[in-house]
Amino acid sequence: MTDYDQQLNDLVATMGLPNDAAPIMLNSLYEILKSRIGMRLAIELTDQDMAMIEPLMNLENSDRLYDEITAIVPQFDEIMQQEIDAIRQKLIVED
Amino acid sequence: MSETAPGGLVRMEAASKALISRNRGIYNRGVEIAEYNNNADTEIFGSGPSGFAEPLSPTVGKIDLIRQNPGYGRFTESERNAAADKYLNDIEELTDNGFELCQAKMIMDLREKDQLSMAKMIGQQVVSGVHPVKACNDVQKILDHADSARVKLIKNGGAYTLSDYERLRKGEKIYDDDGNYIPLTPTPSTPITPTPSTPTEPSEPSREDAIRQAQLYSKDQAVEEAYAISEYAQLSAIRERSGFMSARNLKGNRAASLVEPGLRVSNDMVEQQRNRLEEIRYRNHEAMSQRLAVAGVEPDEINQIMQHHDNLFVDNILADQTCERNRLAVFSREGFMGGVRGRFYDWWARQGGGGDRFFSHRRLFGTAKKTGVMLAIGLPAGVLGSVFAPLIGAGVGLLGAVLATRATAGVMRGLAAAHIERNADHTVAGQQRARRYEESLAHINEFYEHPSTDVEGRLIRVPAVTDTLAESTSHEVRRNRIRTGGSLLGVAVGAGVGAIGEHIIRSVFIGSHHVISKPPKHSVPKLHHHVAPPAHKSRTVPPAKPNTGSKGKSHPTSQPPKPPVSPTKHHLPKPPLHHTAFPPHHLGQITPSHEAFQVMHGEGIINEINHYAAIHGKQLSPRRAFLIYLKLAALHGRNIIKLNGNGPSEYLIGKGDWGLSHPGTGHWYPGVEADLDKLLNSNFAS
Repeated sequence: MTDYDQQLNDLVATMGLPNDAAPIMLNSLYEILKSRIGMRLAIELTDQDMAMIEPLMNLENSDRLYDEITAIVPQFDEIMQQEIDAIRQKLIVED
Repeated sequence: MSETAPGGLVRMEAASKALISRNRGIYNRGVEIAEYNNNADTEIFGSGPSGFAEPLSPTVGKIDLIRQNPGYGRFTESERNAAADKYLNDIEELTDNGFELCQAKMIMDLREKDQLSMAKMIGQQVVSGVHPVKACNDVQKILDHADSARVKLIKNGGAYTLSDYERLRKGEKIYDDDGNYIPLTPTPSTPITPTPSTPTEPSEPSREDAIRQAQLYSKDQAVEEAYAISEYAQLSAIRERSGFMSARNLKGNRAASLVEPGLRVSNDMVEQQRNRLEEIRYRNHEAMSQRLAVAGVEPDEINQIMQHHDNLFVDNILADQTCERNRLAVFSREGFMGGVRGRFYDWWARQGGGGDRFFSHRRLFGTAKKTGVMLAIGLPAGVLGSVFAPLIGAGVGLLGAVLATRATAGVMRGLAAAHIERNADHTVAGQQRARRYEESLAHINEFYEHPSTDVEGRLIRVPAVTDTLAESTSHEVRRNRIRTGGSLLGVAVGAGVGAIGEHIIRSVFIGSHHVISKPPKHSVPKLHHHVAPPAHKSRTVPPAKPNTGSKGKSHPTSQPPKPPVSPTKHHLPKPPLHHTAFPPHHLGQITPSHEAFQVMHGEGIINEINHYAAIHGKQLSPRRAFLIYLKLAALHGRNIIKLNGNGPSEYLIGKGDWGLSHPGTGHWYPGVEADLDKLLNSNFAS
């Protein structure tokens, strides 16, 4: 698996933020990423996928989330990478 | 005219007392002191309708200044009047105790100066590494001690002017052995030394006073700003979701059915509200800047102060937006997304509490955390709440101004764009909005009357509007937990707290357990702490994938994990008693029981803490129980009780209070009970 953490870290590192702002930015990237992935899954998964995922929703904070999700959504890693790339694209420093 | 003069009666009484006091033989300064008293009289009560001929330019007395000037940190006329009355009472109390009026005035001036210095002193201590709460307490003790010593020195030493007082402080004698005053200069006709708050007073206090005043909002301003923020948060959140609607490419009739007539939100509406919000912010802050500049505050310091207020301002926007977004997500779950997809997103958003923990802890992102940036996580990340992730396009300019530092506008815009692309449209009933506003106002009023403090006495309060948002949402969709609820605990209120309060709050939340975007350490995999694991818990390999494509998958053969069923066979109490399964400890040391207990309908965490304490022979006030909860939440995360059954155990019901989502059997998460016992056994519970 690609080291997604490292990717996000690198992304933040390129922004040249002060020390106290960098973790804020990084956390926000994680939040954004999570939101985007969640939205994307909600949009793209079929009803059948959703039916399979639905029982997972009885779990809160499952340690097995990744396993469960990838079992149902094999392209999950791909989606994550795409979303990270999309965020990276959005974060082009203009000035 | 004199009969109706404000404070006239008090003034006459004070003058009489002063006269009596004066006649007790204050050496040889009678005439001089009378002059001081006259000056003090004018400074306190003004030279206006006094019964004497009014000067052409009457002096406004301190009492009237307090009554008229909102900058004195009072938010309504009644509060200003109360402050003025208190000032009068303090003066009266001092003169009752034998002080001359000029002495009383001097003492009051020095006390006011102390208050102005307080924030600075606290700040200095905090910067040097002292915990904010300790700094606050220490400074208060120092100032109290100083005041006590000062009053004694003024009284015993016979100081009637600031100059006298300063000389006494330096150990100089101001009276000879015969009781004659030793003037500062050899000429007996030395002009009378002005009392502390005459116009010739050193500029330092007025400058600090202006700084303090400039940072205070009037209540009206606070309400106006809070409403504008709320409105903006709501509109922007609704609009934010429209992208999701289009992204889903819903059929026209379906999409239309999801939007209530008259409540569609256009980009223009969001933009308009943003402009209004910016205008309010600009107006309020411009006024602050000007006052600071007039007081001679250096531009750098002004910028610092304004940035501080901008941070608070943005905090409130972010918190409201996050809450509004979640509220809409809840609505989505209930309605337009067609059920399971809305529920999925809602559930997804709740996982892990957000941020890096969601990914790293679940190994969604591997191990990582090797870089310096990651090491910085957990430092002052909470300063800006759940950061700018929730920020949508319209707020970028504002945030950029606050946070930009070296992050460029491009980054900000990118962040916003990254977040807004996929969202959903929804709308909210107007009635509900109106009701919420009413509740918001009530919260604001309540805050001004009863600012909350946390377990260590620090000021803490969620934004009034956001608080209401969370509360109203939880009422409407009872079983839905609002993901940001816990975060909201950490959001300091912006407007109205005052410079000192704001300073403390800001300092407190930097690096505190209430850091917004940093969930408590132990809040994550709690599900299996007490319960029997689901049948396939030990499975480390995902179940066989029925299909490699995203379409047409079949259901896996193995059942997904079931929610835990009641795992314990402990004896449960008979209604209406609670916690009777706990060993019947009474007075004395409490030992952990690790037993299950019964949660009754309508009970919250505070109730449970109270029940637990009662069973163990401790009587807690609701407030003390709440403080204990905050302490436990700081140690274990806000989820300290696990209820058996489906769904989350807690939800935010407002004002930092957490309700339990359903009645039934529950138990404390590991470690909670032990810490609760410690707290109950300590002075903390008393």
